[in-house]
Amino acid sequence: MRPIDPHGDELPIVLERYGPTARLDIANGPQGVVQSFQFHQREYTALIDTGARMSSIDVGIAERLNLPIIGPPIDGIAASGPFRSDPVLALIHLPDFETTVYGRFLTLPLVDQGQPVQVLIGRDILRRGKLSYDGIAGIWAIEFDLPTFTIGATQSSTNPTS
Amino acid sequence: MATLEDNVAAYAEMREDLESQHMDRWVVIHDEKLVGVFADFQEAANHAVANHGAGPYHIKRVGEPPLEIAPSMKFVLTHAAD
Repeated sequence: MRPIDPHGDELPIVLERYGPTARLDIANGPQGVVQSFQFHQREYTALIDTGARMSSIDVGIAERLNLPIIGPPIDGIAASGPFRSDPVLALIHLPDFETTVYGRFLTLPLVDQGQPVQVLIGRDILRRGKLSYDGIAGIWAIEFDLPTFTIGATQSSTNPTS
Repeated sequence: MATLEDNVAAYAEMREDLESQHMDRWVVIHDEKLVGVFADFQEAANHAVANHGAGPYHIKRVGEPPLEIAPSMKFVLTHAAD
């Protein structure tokens, strides 16, 4: 199990206060050629949100990265008022867990809502992994069990998580 | 090239057949055609990006309930007293 301490405080307090959070990078959207689907080495923070069925990403980040919309929008109401959310495709990298995974993310005004994270990883992504949580020690971990694949390839060949 | 809305409409037309044959599997609809059926989202997304770039394409789990907003977005505290 790998301890994550993004805030430099005592781990049990950090975990209680902020929940399980992880550093994360997001690939730029596929612009029609697979080669452009690159990570841009910018660090975001994701919250592991077991209360959410769907994963979500901040709408401003999704627009800046031009993430492709892959389904019809849904309407929601947040504390700031009604909003429309498009589901987008994103490839995320969790460096602390050496994992790269595709996800479908709802675009939500997370930053405008005052959320301290830019991404919520919900149960749709968590169903592909094993999550462990030790509140006493203040550590948590996730291991993904992903099908082998090469980014942008039609046939499976290598596993980037191994 | 078909728009995302066209692909969503095409899925709606195929829905009954897909639910009878491929329930809970992931499908990719491109140019109003079913271009693949996959066991999980990872495979579907990889196929879509590799073959159709930025799309537009519709990636959908057959028979899934409507998408929903994270509860943490619905119940953000705007004021709290000590």
